Amino acid sequence: MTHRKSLLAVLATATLASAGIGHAQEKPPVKIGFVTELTGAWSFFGTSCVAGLKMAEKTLNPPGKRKIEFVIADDQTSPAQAVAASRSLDVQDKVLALSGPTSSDTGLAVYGYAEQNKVPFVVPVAAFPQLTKPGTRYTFRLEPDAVGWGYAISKFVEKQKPGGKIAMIYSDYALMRAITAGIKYQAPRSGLKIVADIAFPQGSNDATVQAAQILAATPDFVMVSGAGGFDNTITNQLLDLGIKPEQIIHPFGITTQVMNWGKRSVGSYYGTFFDSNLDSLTPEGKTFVEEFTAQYDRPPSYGENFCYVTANVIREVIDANPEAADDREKFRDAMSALKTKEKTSGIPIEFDKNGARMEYMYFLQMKEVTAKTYKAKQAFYIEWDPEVIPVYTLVK
Amino acid sequence: MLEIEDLTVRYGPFLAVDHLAMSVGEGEIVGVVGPNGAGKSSIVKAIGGLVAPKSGRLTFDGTDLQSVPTHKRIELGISIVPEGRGLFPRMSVEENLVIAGDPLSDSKRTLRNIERCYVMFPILKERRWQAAGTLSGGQQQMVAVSMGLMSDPRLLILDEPSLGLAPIVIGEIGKALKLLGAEGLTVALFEQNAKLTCNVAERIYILASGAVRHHDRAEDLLNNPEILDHLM
Amino acid sequence: MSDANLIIFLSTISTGLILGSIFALVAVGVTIVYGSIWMPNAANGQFFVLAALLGWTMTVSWGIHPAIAAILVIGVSVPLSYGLEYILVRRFYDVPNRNISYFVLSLGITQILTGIFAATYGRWSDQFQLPPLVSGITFIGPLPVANNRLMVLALALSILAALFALLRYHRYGRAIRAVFQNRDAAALRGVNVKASYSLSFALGNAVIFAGGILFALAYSFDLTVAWTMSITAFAIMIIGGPGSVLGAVIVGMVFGFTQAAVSTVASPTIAAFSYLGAMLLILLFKPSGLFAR
Repeated sequence: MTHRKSLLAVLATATLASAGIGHAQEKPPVKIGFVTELTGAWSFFGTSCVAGLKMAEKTLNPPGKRKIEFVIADDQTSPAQAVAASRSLDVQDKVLALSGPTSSDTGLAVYGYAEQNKVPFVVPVAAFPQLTKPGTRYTFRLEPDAVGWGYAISKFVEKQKPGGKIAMIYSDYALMRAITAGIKYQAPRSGLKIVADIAFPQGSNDATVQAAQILAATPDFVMVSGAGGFDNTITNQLLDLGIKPEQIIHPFGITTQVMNWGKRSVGSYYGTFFDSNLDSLTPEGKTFVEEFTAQYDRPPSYGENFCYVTANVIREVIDANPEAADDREKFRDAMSALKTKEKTSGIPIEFDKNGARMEYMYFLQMKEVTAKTYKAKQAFYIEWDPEVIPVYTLVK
Repeated sequence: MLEIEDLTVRYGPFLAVDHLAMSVGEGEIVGVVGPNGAGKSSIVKAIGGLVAPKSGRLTFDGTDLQSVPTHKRIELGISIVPEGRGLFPRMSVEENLVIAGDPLSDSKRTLRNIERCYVMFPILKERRWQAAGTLSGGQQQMVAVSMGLMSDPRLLILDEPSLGLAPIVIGEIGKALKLLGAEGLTVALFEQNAKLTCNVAERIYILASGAVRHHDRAEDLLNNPEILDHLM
Repeated sequence: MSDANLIIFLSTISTGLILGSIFALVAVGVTIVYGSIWMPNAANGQFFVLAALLGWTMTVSWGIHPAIAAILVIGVSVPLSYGLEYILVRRFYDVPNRNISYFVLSLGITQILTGIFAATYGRWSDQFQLPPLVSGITFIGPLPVANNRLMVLALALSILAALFALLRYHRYGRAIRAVFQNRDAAALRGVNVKASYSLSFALGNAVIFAGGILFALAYSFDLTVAWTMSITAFAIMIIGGPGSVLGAVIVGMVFGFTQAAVSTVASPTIAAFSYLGAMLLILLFKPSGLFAR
């Protein structure tokens, strides 16, 4: 916080207090249920998200504004648990809205509950397209959908190497299937050729042979996306066999992943929606990166950012529509009509009739990896309408 | 050497050995004969520590056996060749002998004892690398007796060594036992085959239903076969 | 053969060897424990991952050299095994149908460890990667292979060889095998059966731990590996014949090659099912397993 800002805050508080206008504080806080992955397979993402949320909470409730309180519940990365937690937050805590899931599986579970019970649901980080399928009314999603990422990857390759050849090697999870469905749809339309398409079942541990097959297919770019630790195995085995880092595109990269790919991956590309190395960071975005890095010893990436932004979006909607703080329908309408920008990067936020966001994606190239941080450079940026490709029919 | 007093062994409601007393003296060859189910194997198991007696006292050279864990009894000098021969069927003949010599903790003595077994049963030397379980019944019994001898015991106890063997092989086993007795080894032979036992042993206990029915010198029994016929 | 095809062919072989030797280690550990104390240890996959996680903490968090960490991890398994044996496992030694009790017990251990791992290590589950034992690359024909993985292969094979030597030529090893084959006869030959049980349990787990730490040195891993490894180790043990160490080694190596070869000619997904298919087919003709005794 700059000196001027804090001075303003003090002044504002003093004015409010002396004028005796304390009635805003008398109203009970607005509760938001935050169902996320604190344990289980996806907990590395859920805990990052909560870290981003906590950063937002530091400045979320200045004096004089209606207090917003996040009630955090662990869904153990289990859809059943996510529904149970949603119900408890809805019925017992009487939250205004739900938020929190960072995995598509738990996200879809909460989606079902929210749509059925008319609870507004703000999805911070979950990319499966069906979260905003046509007819969706109460769900709003900040993260672009994964089929769209496939579209963006094809566009990126088209720009880097017109008529290029793409190989795909990935774990057979819903998220990766959505990404590759987008690539398969868009690649021929972008004049690209898919020369290899290798999917691994859950629990795979070796990719040497497949790396050799990829090498034999002589692609210009390789899209690599393994689940969990297997991502590193695939990446390293490709590099071992002589695929160059500059040929590798990871569809998404968060800080820990980039650090895991490490020095030998310098030169490779990854997709993202927010990164500490973006050129377009706002002053608040820079502060967010600095304070987060100071506290957690690593820079934040898009997971933390989406959760940080989620808190701020809710604040903004309630500030602009005080009556939405106690009425779910009004909150939903206000979300639907929202036109704003991410405070951290200035990217516009607005939702279409299904709650899908006007989409965008960055591609960064890794430049340097040190003990606690890394440097990357923006290589490509693209924005598109969510339905530029038939996302909801490509993946069911 | 071995004193058994008032031994009772029960398996649930079934009384296998009933207040039995017997003894084996140093240098003796003692036979214990009785029909199937007379309690012979239960006595052997009690001596070996494989079953816990319900009551009674077992002493070996004055040591109370019940205070000695099963695996330590061989170190006292008691070696038991159990019913069914107690081989390790998937190991070679030689490995069976090596294991049986392990309680000595002396590889030189083990090697010497193996050679001694091969002298006694030359066929085993030919078959030394064959898995013990693939040998004929007679050869398996030779391995079993050899194993019993590997630990240089002072008392060798054999349970039903003649079971399932051809008469000619039984004769050979009998000869070997007599030879061992002549060398000063104490032997207790638990057998259904009264003829073999009387040929080998000096003193005979006749068992029925877990108790001693008759006790006599082997010569006397051989001279009065009607006693044997009557008791068995 | 073109260079590209030669690379695919050679990588199939190298992968088969490395994976096969690690599969063999884990399956041998499982089969030793099953053969001696009748415990079908469903928690083997969790033990495997525990070793990998300990190795990760020691190297990445504490900065210990991976070679020393590997020795420490295997060493740590010994008191852990003896502790578990003392508290739980030995209580069942005289239960006649203890294999089913043990199976349920080990499923319980699996659940507990899964929960503990998720709570303690879950949030790093995308970053389990150990520093290599050695750096550099060796070319086998046109195929580059990381020296680290060659080292892992050499260590896995040496551990298997040492284990064979122990079981065959050492008194304790002979005792373990004797107890496998005839428990009462072994007792009469002076083998302390219960001590041999404890030793087999510790030895089997040490081998599983060795498999886990070597795997972690060769590959990145995550918590889901536990389940895959459990199933694989059980399948290997059943095909090889429960209790047969030789069977576990041979079938483990065959599994490694099968995975590599099937995923080359078909796909990795089909390769994952090919095990279970092979298991069913073999059990159809030889229900007791290939090397059953």
